[in-house]
Amino acid sequence: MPMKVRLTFKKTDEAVFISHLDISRLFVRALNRAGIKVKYTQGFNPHAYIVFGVPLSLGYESICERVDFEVVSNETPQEIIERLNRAMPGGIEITECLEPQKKFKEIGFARWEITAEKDGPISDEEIERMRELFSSDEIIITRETKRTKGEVNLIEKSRGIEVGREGENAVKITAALSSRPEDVLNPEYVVRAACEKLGMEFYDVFYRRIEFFDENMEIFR
Amino acid sequence: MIDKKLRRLLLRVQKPARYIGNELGSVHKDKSAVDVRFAFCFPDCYEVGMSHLGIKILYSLLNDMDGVSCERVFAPWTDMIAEMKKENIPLFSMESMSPVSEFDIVGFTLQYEMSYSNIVLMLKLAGIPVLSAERKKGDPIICAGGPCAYNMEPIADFFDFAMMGEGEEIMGEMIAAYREYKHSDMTKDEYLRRISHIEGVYVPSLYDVSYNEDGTIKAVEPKYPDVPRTVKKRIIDDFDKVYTPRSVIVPNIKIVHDRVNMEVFRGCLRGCRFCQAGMIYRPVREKSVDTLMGLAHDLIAQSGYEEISLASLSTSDYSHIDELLDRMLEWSKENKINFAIPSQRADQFTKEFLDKTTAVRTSGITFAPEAGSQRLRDVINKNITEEQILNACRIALTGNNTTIKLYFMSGLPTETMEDIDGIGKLAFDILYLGARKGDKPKKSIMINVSVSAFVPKPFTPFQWMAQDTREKMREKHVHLKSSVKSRKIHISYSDDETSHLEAVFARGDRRLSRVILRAVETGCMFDSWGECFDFEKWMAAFEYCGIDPAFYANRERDYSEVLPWDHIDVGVAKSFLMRENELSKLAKTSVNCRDGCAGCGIKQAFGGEICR
Repeated sequence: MPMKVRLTFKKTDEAVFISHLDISRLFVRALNRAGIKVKYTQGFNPHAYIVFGVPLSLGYESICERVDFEVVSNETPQEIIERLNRAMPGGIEITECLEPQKKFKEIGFARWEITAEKDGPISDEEIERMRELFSSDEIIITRETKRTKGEVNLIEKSRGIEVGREGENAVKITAALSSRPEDVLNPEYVVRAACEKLGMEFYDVFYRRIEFFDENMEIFR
Repeated sequence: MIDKKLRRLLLRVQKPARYIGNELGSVHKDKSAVDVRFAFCFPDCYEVGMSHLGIKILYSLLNDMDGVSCERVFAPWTDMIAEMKKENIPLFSMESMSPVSEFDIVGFTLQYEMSYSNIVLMLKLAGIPVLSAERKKGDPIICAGGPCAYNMEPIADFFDFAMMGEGEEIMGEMIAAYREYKHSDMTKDEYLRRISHIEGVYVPSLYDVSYNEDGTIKAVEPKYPDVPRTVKKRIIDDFDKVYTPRSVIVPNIKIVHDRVNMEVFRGCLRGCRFCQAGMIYRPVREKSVDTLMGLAHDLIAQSGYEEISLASLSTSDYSHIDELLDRMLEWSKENKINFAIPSQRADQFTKEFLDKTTAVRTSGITFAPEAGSQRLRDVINKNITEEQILNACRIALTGNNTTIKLYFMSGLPTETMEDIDGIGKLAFDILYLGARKGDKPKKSIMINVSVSAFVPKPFTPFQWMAQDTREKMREKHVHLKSSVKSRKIHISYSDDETSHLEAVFARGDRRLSRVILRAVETGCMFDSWGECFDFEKWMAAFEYCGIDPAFYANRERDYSEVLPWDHIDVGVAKSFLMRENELSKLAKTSVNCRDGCAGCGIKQAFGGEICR
């Protein structure tokens, strides 16, 4: 019996440098190596029918990437996880294999963990000012995409932005940001807001996507 | 393994995955557990280097040896070079990210002349002295192999030695000799002298080159009586049983040839007179169908690729091609594997062949008439008739295929404007095939005509001939373009500046090392990339060194002239090359290795049983 599955996978360590396009090629080859047969498209150039959720920028980590395909061989979800993990290069790890509940277009938000590191120690006052900033009703930022440039209210596009200390030099920001297919907000705008509005400067910033939610902030599965 | 500094740097460059490795199939040996560390350098970027078959074979071969580790090194792209210089990071290997200067042996594969500047560039980035004479015991030994090693004179000053012929043969002996050197008080000079006795090893510094007043070479003399006067290439006798890796590295990013590459046979039985590969890889040696099927199965299962290329210089010449295609087809359909044949000869292209090779996925079809007229095709010994080309295209257009790609060369010896007209005429004839209302009329077909400038190469019958000047090349381009006025025929040319330089280095001598050094000092790198190639800088470097590039590219040589590569023996006799060159002047063809023996000398060089 063909089975529709949705995998959750981690993309960490050296795998953060693999682009979205390359990840999809990599999955096809991993499925082949693992001997898991999936549904193919028809036509002159048949290819494996696999669909990814929201793309991840190069350099960002994630522990909640999602990919859908239809398995036509007879592996159990546990077997799929084990066999695929053996066939994956370093930095990619499958953690879950479930039947899809919702459609990708129902994704509403993604929670991010942003670790922003300063050149030197970060003061309690600076952290407090960041908390204040992100608890206001409105933070207007200029957003540029390939097609458009416009002003948006960062707060309107988020569901809670929390700020906490991370060691002596860094701050950890946890933010649920719009990830609707037509309106994906890159987490770097959060850091940019702190830089622009508070005049802060960071030496190094790490981004990690930790979970997807629907419009009602229920975990997306 | 990736520290913070490197991570930050990688986020600032394009395609950072080029530099981090750890792909499936890569080998990571503990460096403290081996005594010989070999850095395999490909003087171009990752995507190009990883597409090369030789690196995969030698990487596995070396890593399978006890006490030896082999790591890969590619030329960092220009953005990465700038970042590395800024951060003071020396050139590092893919596997352990170790500085290249830490390795025992640094080997470069010489695949094309336009990569020479990158060799110097990489040595400089590694902080290794560029000239062999400047490196002492304790510095890495720098060696070379690959097709351009047969005339490595233009880069001879940079290398300690080169391996002539098939690496599968020679590597073991080379490593053993290095161990002796490393673990004893042998000096570097003694070591180089010692390895010059290994058959196939060429140590350029052990030869004196003298010149005549007109700039030609007077003599190439060994410095010592025990150094061989000529260095003969090494070959594998039994290609079916030769070491072949059962697994490959699977890149995480898209590379140029993103598929399994399986070598069906080595050598070529044709004797196209312009083709260096057809001469230097002689004789033809094949793998059996059983061996190939086993290999194909293993490589596809291990890599997960969905495409396999049946590689060789002319795969349709494989003596069991029908059986191979039938068995490949049966297996590939079941597994949704596409198999591709990179070059198809028009005289062997049949409907059956087309159907078999496009059964799983369709792909473009390419033929290489090489020349526009029958006379000129006879001059180059292509042995394909116009009727065969038209027939092949007729068949090719019966499938779903609407595009045909044709390869030509311009500037071949004896070429006239009429031959150039022949290119356009042939393209029109093919277009007309498609337009004619026949069994299956075509909606629209496209013909891509790719014309590259002829570059005379060492060890070919045309090694004495002159290349067209750049002015002449452009004149011919303009002529062809003005004679073909159809939107359905697209004509593209190789760049005349690149072709000119390629001709200089292909038949260059030791005096060119200085020019290359100068060019790199002034910023030349990645010369095979249009966006990086700077012809003006190269010309300035020639002028600075007082060397005229036309002396190398545009001058016809006399048979009596000492050629820079005369002390290298690839097994094909110089007398044969002369004979073939004379036949070309009469537009007379000669027989291929299957139909008869043209007497190239390879039998005498390697024993009578070698040609099948």
